[in-house]
Amino acid sequence: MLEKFLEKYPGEIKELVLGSEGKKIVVSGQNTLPFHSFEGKTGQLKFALEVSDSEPNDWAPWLQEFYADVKSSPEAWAKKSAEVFGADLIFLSLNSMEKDVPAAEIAAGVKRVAEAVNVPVVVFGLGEKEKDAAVLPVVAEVCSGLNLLIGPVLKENHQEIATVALEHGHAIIAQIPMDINLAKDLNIRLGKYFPLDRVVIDPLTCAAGYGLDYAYSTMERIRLSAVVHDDKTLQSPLIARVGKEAWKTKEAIQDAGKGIVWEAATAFSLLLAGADIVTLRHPESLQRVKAMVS
Amino acid sequence: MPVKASDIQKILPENGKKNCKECGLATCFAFAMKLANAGITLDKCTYLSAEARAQLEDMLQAPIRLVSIGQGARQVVIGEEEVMFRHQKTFFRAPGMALQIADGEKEESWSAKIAKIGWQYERLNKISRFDLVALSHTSADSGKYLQLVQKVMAETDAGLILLAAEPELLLAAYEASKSRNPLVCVTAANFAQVASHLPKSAAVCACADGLEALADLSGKLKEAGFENLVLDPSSASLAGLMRDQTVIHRAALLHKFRPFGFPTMFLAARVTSDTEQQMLLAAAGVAKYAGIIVLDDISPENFQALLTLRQDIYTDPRVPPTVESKVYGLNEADESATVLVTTNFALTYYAVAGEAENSKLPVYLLCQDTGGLCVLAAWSTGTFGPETIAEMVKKQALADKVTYKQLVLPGYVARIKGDLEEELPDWEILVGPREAGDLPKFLSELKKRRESAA
Repeated sequence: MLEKFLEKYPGEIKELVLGSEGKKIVVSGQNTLPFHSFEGKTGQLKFALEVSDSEPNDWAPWLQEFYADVKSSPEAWAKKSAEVFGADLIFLSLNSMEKDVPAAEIAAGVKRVAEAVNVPVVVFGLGEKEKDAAVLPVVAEVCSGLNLLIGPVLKENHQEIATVALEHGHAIIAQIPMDINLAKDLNIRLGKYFPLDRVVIDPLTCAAGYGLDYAYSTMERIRLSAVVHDDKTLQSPLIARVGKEAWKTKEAIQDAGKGIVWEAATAFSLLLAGADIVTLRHPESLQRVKAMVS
Repeated sequence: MPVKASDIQKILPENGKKNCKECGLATCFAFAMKLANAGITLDKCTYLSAEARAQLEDMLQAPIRLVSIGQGARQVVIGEEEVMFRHQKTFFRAPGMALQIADGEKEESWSAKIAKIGWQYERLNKISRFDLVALSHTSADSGKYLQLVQKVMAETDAGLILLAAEPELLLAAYEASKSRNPLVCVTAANFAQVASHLPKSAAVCACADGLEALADLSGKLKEAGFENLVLDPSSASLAGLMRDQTVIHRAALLHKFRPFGFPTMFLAARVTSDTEQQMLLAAAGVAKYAGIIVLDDISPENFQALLTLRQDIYTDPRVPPTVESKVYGLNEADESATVLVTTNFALTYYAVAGEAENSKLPVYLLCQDTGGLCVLAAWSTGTFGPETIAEMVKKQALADKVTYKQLVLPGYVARIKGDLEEELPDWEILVGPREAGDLPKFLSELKKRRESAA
C-alpha cells in the first residue's frame, strides 16, 4: 500500500574511484537522494582527516596539542590519521604555499605523503587563483598516475590546472561560492574537456550557527537537480570541508569538546544535504559520524 | 500547496455561477478566493449540499494539521508545513525538543533532567530550550509513575508526553496533567480502552511499528473523533528514520494521504542508548521533518549544537538574518578601542564580533544597516559605501569615543579607502583583513604600532 509513495529518479551520480593501485576507494555512486536507501541505491560516503604540509599555526590550540607528536612531519601525521584514526582519505592542505616554498619542493612533499599512506590523498591549494595555478599543475605532474583529487579549481584558473590534472590521471575539485548556478556554470566550462564524473564540487561550507543553512540548501539543491531533474551538468560528487569551518567558531575556540560536537553536527548535517566526502580535523568527530552512517 | 480558487469555485452552487451575494461578496469566485486564503468560513454559503461541503472541507484542510502541546510560554506548536525542502519556501515550525525521564531511573537522575529543562540558549536574539518532558514507565510501580508526573508538574512548566502502556495508568497520568495539555501516546494494544475515556480534544500520539500499522491506527483515532494527532512510526535506525519521516511528509504534502496528515514524533532511544549518537539522530530529525524529538539525555555541548542546528534549518531562507544596526562595544571597549566597520548581515556580524572577541582587545564594531547584505553585495548595491559609512560614524559621534581616530574597513572594500578619507578628513582609514579569522593578528599588530608610535 505504501509503495505508491516511493519514487524513482532519472538522474545518477557515477562512482568516482580515487587512489593508485592497491589504495583505491570508491566515492558516491547513487541513483537516489541522500540516505534514501528505501527507494534506490545510495552513494558511498567518505571521511577525510586534514593534514597540513607545514606546521599549522592557525589551528585551534586543542588541535595543535592533539597532533603535537606528528604535526611537524606531514608523512607521519598522514600515516597516523589513516592507520590509527581510520581516515578513508587524507586531505592535504598546502599551507606551505603561504610561505612561497618553490612548487617543485611542495610537489615532492605531496608525493612523499601520498606514497607513505595506504589511502588516497586529496591535495588542496590556497584558493588564490595565481598561486594555485602556479603550484597545482606541478603537483599533478610530479604525482602522475597516483590518481589524486586536486583542487580547488576556480572559474578563473580551471584551464591551467584541470588540463594538467587530466593528462596525469587525477580527479579535480571545482570550487564555487555557494550558488547552484555558479556550480553549473563552472561544470559546463569543465565539461568541454574534463569528464564530469571525475569532478567533485566544493560549494563552500559554513559551520552550524555561521551560515550552515546556506551551505545545506546549496548542497541539497545541487543534489536535487542532479538526481530528481537529471541535470547532467551537476552529476558530480560533493565535498564539504567542515574541519576548517567548525574549528574556527567561537565555540570550538572556547572548548575542545564543543569543537568536536560542532564538527560532528556540521558534518552530519551536510551529509544529509548531499555531501559525499567530508573533511574533518578531529578523529573523535570522524568516529562519531562514521558510526552513525555505517 | 495552496488550493486554487478556480478549483473551489467549481464545487460551489451552480458550478460557482450562482452569484447570489448572500455571503456578502460580489461573486462566487470572490468567495472562493477568500476561502482559499482562509479569510471566510464555509457556513457563509447556505446553498452548499452536504456532499459539496464535505468535499470543500477536505480541500481546505491543511495537508499537515497544526497541533499544539503544553501551555503558556512552553507551548509547542507543530505542523502546517508546506514544502519538502527548505529552499522551496521555508520550514515553518521547529520541532519541539523533549528529554525523556523513566520512572525506573533514580530520583537524582529525575532531578538532573528536570534541571536541564531550565537550561536555555540565546543566539541571533532568539532563546531556545527543551520545552517538553517525555515520561516513560519502566518501573513495575504505577505509583512511582504518577509520582514522577506530579514532580514534573510541580517543578517545571514544560509540556508532557505520556508514555505508559497500561490504559488505567495512562488515563490517571492524563487526569493529573490535563491542565498542561499533554500528549498521550496510544498504541494498537491500548487504543480501545484509552480512546473511550479521553476527551476528543486531547492531543494523542499514535505509536505503531511501521508505516502500514501507523496509517491504520491514525485512521482509527480519526474515526473515534480525535483531531489533534501526532504520528510515531517507531523508527529503529537512521535508515528507518529517513524512510518513515520522508514517506509520511511526502504522502501528506504531495498525495494528500489523510492518515499521514499530522506532525510526527521521533524517539531516539528506539535506535540507541548512546546519547552522542542520539544527538546526531536528533540532527537528522531536525533536517527531516520530525515534529517532536525525544532524547534520553543531553550534554551542555550537544544542547547548544543541536539548538543551533535547529535554528539554522528553520531559518527562513527568504529573509536575510540581520542584527541591529548600531555600535557594539566589545571586550569592554573604552577610549583605547579600535573602530571596525562592517554590515548588519548577521553572519558577518557573528564572524567579525567572534574574532574581535578572540583578540581580547577593546573594539567598537560599527554595523551599518545594509538590509542584511554581506560586505561585497552591500558595496555593489550602494548600501555600504563611503557616504553611508561616514554618515553613521558622524551620527554615532565615534570621534568623541576614541583616542585613535582610526577606522578599519573590511579588506573586501579596500577600494573605497580614498573616498572615505575625503568624507572623514579627521580619520585615518585603515584596510583590515578580508577574512574575520585574520582580525586578532591584525588588531594586535595595530596595537603594537600604536605603542611604538607613542
